[in-house]
Amino acid sequence: MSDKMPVLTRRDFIRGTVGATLGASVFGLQWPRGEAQAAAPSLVTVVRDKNAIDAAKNIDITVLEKMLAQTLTRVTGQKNTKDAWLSLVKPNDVIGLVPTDHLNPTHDEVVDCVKNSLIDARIHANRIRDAQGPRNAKKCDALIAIPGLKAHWLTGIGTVLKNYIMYSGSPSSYHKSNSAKLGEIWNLPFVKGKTKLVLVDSLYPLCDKGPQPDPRYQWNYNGFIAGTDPVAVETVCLKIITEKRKVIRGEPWPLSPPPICVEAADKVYGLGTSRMEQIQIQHYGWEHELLL
Amino acid sequence: MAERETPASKDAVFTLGKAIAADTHHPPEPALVKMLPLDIDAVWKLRVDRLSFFRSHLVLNSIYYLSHENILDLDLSAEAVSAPYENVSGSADPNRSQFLLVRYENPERALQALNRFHDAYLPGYNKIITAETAADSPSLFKLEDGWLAYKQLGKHIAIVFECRDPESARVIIRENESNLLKKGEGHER
Repeated sequence: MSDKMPVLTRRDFIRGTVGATLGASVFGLQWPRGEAQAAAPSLVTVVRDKNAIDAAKNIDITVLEKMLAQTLTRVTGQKNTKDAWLSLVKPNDVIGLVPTDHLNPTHDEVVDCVKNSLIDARIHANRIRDAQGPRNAKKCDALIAIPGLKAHWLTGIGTVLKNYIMYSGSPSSYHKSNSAKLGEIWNLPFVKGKTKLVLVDSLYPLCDKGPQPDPRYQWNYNGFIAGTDPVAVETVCLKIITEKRKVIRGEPWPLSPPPICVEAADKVYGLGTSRMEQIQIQHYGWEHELLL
Repeated sequence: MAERETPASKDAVFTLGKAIAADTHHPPEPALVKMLPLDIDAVWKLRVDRLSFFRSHLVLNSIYYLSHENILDLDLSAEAVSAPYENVSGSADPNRSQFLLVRYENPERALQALNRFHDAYLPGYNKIITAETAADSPSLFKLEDGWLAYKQLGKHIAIVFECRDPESARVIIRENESNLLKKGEGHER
């Protein structure tokens, strides 16, 4: 396998040949692997409540708890929160919560809400830990990814797939054109298969730039976006960010750099689907500016 | 303006902002910004609200993504402006073409950059960079998103993307070149 990245240009995106370009040169002959995957649609839920967070960014915990309960039951098809958690994790699992800690970080209230919900489901508190950081996933049996919804100046989108970048031990190796390889982190031996739920904190997303969050590009979405297919969840997140950018500019405003990690996570690393036609989106609650 | 806004955090941010602004000296508008004609043949209108001045490919990419790599050799010794020209005749599709003008230290740097751009962006297309006088035509290429034209104008290079036909591309390059020459820029060596 060659480590030399090809020069990707705007034309690769217009032609839809990013995958082929990357696949042929960087990923050897693995590119067609994901093409053979044609499973059932991946479910992604979008649960929103206009009272979840106010203009001053105060969070209503009670509303958050209801949104989480609805998310869990809808994602799993179980009747209540406890059954939902126990369909995702085992009672004796060491469960790692993986929030984002920088550039529009996951709200602490969201992390606490997840933790409390697990405890309510009879998961012992000492089996729940913060798993963000270079080696923290190794001690966990199950991971709950809880990223904040955001665009990112080095990877295009910086939400689901990028949330595990610290597990690589070399985060700067996954920026710019190398962000196409973010999916490989999810296949590291101590990470692969452990992610039981992706729950995106989309209460107050960021749709452009960084490295500091620019308030002009943040808005109240007041939602949770969730699923068990990380690529499908990322694809829905990308759609929301893309649509919001269009609303702000009044015309298409493509992300820069292009979020090449999403398609690669599907077609190269087989982590899930990035094809909207294979994603079933279920939306509950607040309809305002859904962007889907 | 803060992760968790409070009256105190808002006050602190405003205090910092005012202190920084009070010590800011506004430099004059870069001359290159004034080089682009605002209207071309009553058909093309420059979107001044989208006009950007920059020296880095990272900034260019946030305006109009070209490549992860610095395929135009931009750095602090170069100056660049970019904006769309919008077709205001009412019938064109697509109705917008992105124009880019870069000024390098000297014509040699401009030629080197244009060669690099061609190799990265137009692999497989014949390279014809002969434009040294106003009489020379720009190089034209039919791409997936329309016609692209480029021309070296002394130490400048002009590129237009996403034109609906070769004539539109030619006109936009020609009028920008003409403007540069009028303002005493262009083909000097």
